[in-house]
Amino acid sequence: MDYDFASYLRDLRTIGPELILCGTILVLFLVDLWRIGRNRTISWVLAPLVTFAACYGLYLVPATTGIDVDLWPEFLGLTAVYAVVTVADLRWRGRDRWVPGAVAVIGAALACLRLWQQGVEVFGEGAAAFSWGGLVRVDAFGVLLRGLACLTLLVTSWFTIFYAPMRRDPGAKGVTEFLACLAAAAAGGMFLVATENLLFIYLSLELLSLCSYLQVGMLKGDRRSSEASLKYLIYGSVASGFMLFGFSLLYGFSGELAIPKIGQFLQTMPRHSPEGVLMTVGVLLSFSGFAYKLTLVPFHFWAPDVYEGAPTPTTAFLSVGSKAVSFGIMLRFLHMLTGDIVWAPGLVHLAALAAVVTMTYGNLAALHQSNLKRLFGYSSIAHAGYMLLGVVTVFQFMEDPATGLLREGRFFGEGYAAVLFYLGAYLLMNLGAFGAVIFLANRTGSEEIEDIRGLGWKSPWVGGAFIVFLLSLTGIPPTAGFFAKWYVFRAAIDGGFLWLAVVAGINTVISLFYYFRIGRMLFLRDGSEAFFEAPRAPWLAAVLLLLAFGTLWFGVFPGAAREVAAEAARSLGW
Amino acid sequence: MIASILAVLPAAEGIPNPSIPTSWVLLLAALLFILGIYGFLVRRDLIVVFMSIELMLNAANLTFLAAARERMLDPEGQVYAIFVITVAAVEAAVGLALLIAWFRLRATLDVETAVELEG
Repeated sequence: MDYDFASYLRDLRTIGPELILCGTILVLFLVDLWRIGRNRTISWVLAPLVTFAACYGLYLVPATTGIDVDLWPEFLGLTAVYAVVTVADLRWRGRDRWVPGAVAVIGAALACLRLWQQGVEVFGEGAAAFSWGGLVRVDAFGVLLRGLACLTLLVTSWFTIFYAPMRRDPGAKGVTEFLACLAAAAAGGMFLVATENLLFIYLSLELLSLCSYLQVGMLKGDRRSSEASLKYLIYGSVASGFMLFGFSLLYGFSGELAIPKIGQFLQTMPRHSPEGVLMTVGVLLSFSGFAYKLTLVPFHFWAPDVYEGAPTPTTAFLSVGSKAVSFGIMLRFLHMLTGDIVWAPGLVHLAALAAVVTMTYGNLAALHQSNLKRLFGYSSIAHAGYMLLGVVTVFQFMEDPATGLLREGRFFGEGYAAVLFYLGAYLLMNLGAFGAVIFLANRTGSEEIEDIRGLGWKSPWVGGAFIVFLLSLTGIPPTAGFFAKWYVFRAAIDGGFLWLAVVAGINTVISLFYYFRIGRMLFLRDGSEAFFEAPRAPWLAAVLLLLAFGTLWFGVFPGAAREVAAEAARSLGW
Repeated sequence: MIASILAVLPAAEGIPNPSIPTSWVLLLAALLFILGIYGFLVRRDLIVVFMSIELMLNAANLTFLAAARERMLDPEGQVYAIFVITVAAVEAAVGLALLIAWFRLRATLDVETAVELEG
């Protein structure tokens, strides 16, 4: 066994960003303990000692082993945490409820930085590398989706700092736990797209799910939050039970846990035997677990309730981060069906049907909503339908001219690239929209559409950014949402699903109505505008402007991002 | 139909004296799973709903173990079952915590009272 310390460190490095998130959770709780005491001796004596010891521990690893790992971002992060906490304790004591959020933001930023470094190494290489004995797969696809999850964590932690129901919480209790759950959920999501082993998929999906249930119910004493968390938990557990049973069937007949090996087994086995039928059942059950996370009809029913009842940062995380990684694992799963011409056509048509029903249902139901978060819940269902369009087109079937039979399923990477681009654009615009909801709800204390009447005139910058997000969600140029839809629709047409693109186009028009309603209410001037004084939140507005700028930037220059998405899609290994 | 499902897997090889055929175990697992779905759909008490979900997880466990036994006690499947048991325990802990938060606000465990979020 030549598994020495050096390769162990190399393995550790591949999951570095996730490890940083785990460390962030620890630091969060340490900071919380420290702040409960509020003792200046601790601030001045113990905290520097702990920070110094941690830095020294980090320094020891390369120094004693002689292995060149560069840990300066971690040093920097620890020092930044120490500086933030100490300065806040001494300068803003009593008004420093933003500290846990700031610590989480530092951790998430550090993880993003590490992922960026990994991305620089991985992109352009093409081949996937494995670590942890094949459990973790490092490729451009995984790094891109992990980056999306990590960015979501960064932005939602930032939102949490400004989210009024948690600020009001006496002593800021619960915020630390909330942020810890958020970070753990993001880490679970990042593990999910970094593997193709059924056991690892199950464990990371459960980490993501369990922490999401807890986040949803974190507003203790709020009846809607409690109801939402219980609904989410029960439906989610059943969905994961379905998925697990599907996994057990896949393992039971193939004897393998790695997705590619199961794929090989699928291609060699007799199709119409009872064995083949049960394997199909296994595949379908597994997909139902992912469909639940993706809010595809008929696994959508939890989404509006949960999105409405959950704290808004959680809603943002569920609609963007959780969805991105679930799409990622679904695309990886489809991998094993490549070349399978017996089931793949059926599955593709099933997915096409699901896409149509999902987007139509989401858009029609969103038309008559009065609650902003609930409306975005339905809009999120609709967007999952659009994204599924790209998934539908991944296989093309050519008719054999001699026999008239379907001959070969050829992979069509355009669809995957389109989905990845869509996920990135969706991150910008949907996180922005939820941030704007937090900003407006902080001023009015309500999340009803009626209550944001005229607020656009009072906060023109945020109002303008919100309009940009709404345009992008509708798919109007020059925004990222336009190109996201454009690529997906074009992939559908190229893949031979013209009717699907037409239905999606009609749906886009429907969605215009409810997005427009929000924009109109925001800038309505009929003398009955809401008038509320609330503390200004320039830092929240700054992030919203940044997201709006990103939305516009990728709406004008989509080329580079599109290239990145295409390369990530290629790295899946077809 | 049942006969064809029972005939899916060949008789266990390499296992000393396999007293129960694997296909029977698989059938039992399928029955447990269906029972779990039934309980989830029909029962109104949240605790019983949780128990039904545990039943579904254990059905998957049984399948993993049966398949592992079929393959000369393949460690992968057995390890999977241990992890599933652990996750089920964590899920129960999270579920009961949320259940207590719910009970404090409503003093009932009836699922039919979860009707505040509609539309």
